[in-house]
Amino acid sequence: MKPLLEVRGLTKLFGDGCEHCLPGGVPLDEGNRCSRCGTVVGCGDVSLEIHPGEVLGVVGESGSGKSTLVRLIHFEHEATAGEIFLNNGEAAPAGQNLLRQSSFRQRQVRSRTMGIVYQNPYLGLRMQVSSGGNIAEKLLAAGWRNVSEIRRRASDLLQRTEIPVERMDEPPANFSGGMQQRVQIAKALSNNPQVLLLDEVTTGLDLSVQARVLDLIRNLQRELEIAMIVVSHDLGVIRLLCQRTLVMRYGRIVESGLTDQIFEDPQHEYTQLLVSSQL
Amino acid sequence: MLEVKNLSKTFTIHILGGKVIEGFGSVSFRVEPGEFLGLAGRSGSGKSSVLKCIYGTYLPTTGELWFASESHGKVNLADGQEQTMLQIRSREMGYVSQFLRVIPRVAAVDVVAEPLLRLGTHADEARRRASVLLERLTIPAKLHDAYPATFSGGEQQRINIARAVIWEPRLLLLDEPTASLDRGSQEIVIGLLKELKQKGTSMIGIFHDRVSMEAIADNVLEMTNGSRGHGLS
Repeated sequence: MKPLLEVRGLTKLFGDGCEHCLPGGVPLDEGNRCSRCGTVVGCGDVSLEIHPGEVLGVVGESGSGKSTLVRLIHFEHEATAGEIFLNNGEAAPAGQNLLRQSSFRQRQVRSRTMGIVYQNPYLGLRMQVSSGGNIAEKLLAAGWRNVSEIRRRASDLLQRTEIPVERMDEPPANFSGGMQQRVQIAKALSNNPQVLLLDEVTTGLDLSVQARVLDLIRNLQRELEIAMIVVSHDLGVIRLLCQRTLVMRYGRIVESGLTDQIFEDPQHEYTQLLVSSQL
Repeated sequence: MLEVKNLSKTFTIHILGGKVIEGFGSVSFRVEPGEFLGLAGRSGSGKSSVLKCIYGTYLPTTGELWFASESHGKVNLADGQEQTMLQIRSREMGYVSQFLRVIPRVAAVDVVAEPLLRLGTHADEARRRASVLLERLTIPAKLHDAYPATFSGGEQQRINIARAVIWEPRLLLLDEPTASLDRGSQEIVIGLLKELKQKGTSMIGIFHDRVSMEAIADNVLEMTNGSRGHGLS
């Protein structure tokens, strides 16, 4: 089966770069800063695949490049090098490197096939616009035009994410943190994305709220069979949600494999350190 | 069904300065459809490690694991093909672990029904069959909606077994399935496994309890600590 999303050699350098660190970044033992020109390696030569309906975890310490990777896939930053292919037929013809397309085209692909949930709801939502309005905004970007259909879809999604429908016209600024995350999830799902990007979505939430958000994600994933990339530094979240996992350090992937293998038979030194640090 | 050739496992622990720990030395064996192979040996001789290598939880150090997959044909599980392994785990190969890994806030009946849902059974039917199986394993109806995290060790083990047998995998790996069970429950579990055997499931199981092992195993592989002396009887 062909992968849904293929990423090859994705690199993001912050700085001018030089022959030592271009195009794929510096060797891993130099950390994530080029010793010659001081350029920072956000992502260095990252390659991954995700298949339809699969949940891929990305784990690593703060600053390892996990969020940068997700933002690059979401076309939020301009990559320094690399290729991204989406193999789903209609939205993007096969073999076309999406990173070489115009930003208009990228936004089009993004609004038709992707959804993203950020750690900080302020990044994913407009706090002064109603929750229903936030969802409507995404639907409009995906091409929906009929107002009553938009409203019905928004109400449907809010119910799914257990937000009381009576509060649909209230701005998320009035909601608790957990509710704000659930509005983000509703918004991210509104266009029936094939790939859902979850960037540290439960970090900072208290335990019972985290539990509820995770249960929601698990149930939605099973029901809708969406492919997901779950970024977290919480190994428990990764273990619960993901079948395969990538371990990142200094912007590179140091190990990848089935989640249970990563946790029980870690091969790389850094992975072993990470796993043995679990509480 | 499964042919294991020259399988071995060593662990290199970088955070202990690169210390190498031997899991087990070379083992080879075959398991046919409907056959139960027992793995016996002292604590630490590598029995669970053999199962984990087959299941992909451990990466084998040497060896080949030829599995006659229905969907993929004859494949070497040691190849490290992740998508193939995920599909085989989902559709053909099951694993009963020694300890129940509890998914929080999922009721016992749903834990057991989940493999059926994954394979396309309708939700109500899946839950009904799960309930029936739990009753057979003497977990009373009152507990079906409860969360397994609070169950006793023996109850958790029976959930683990139920979850693995309900979908009738072609190959079933069992790590101490009867360790925490009383004699009566052990007999019920052995009965369940025998039925599965009749239907053609191959099994590889670890038992410390010789009585259970002898009740069901067709062959036994003795693992001895790290040496080449593995005997088939």
